[in-house]
Amino acid sequence: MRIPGTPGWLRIALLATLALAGILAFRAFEFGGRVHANEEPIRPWMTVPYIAHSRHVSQNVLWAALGLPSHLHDHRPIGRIARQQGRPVADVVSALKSAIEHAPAKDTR
Amino acid sequence: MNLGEQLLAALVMYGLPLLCGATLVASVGAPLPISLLLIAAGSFADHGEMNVPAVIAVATLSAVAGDNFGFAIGRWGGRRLAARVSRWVGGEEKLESAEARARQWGGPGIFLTRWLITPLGPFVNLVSGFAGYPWWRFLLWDFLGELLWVVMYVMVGNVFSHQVEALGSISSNATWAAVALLVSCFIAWKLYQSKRRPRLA
Repeated sequence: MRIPGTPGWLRIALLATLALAGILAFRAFEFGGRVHANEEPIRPWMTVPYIAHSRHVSQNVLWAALGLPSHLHDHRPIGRIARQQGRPVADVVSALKSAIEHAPAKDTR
Repeated sequence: MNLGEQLLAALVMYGLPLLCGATLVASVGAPLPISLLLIAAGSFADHGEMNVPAVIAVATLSAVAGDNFGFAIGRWGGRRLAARVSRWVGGEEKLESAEARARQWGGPGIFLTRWLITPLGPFVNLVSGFAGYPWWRFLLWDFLGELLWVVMYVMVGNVFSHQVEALGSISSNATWAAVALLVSCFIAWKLYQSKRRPRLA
């Protein structure tokens, strides 16, 4: 539909910005669905207390999996722990995942 | 690790001072994912690692301080650019009309760009200072908007505390969708105006 007297680029810009708004809104809804559907993956910025709290597991189990003594006030991200231990972050993440999976009932809060 | 993850790791280690510095710098105009940090701070509060009232106070005051810095740059540094800007926008008359519009719509504009269309916030700070918008009114709208923004994100992070990154992605996409929608409205208005304008032969 042609609007008389209007530059064509304005109409193209309108369609482009509307499409962009639609795509971004769709992506926001998509991420919204994930909030309820999935558990947050373990990421390098997370701390052991954070992971323990979010997975309902005792911190002791996770510290043991990393070969470290239990520290209630240790807020190092696991990425930093991995660097200090000279291991890849993926190794630390898989050790934590395995510990969470095999956490004994008495250690699961 | 990307910038967002690096900032989250830094927030975990340094807490409120990091939140204060990052919010201040972002309010002046640095493109940092501050909404993600606020969500994370709310989440860390739920995990017992931070304190909600302290997070809200520090983030709100830092954001207001950064905004006022931008306002001051516009107020005292902007006049030098006035001549150049007036040439870009089509003369002194149009510049004055833009200034008048900024004064007229200043309050709601300032308020909405604090919490809904946040990417435009630093620009609005500069324009408000440049347009001579009264400082105490700017401060009032700014404080209310920033307080709403901070409380909203911190509480969302606090309630859904196990989904920090997903919430960060939702907020970032929703914010940019709002900006794109606003630009669409502006273009549609321009199209409507040009349709109504009588065509010169």
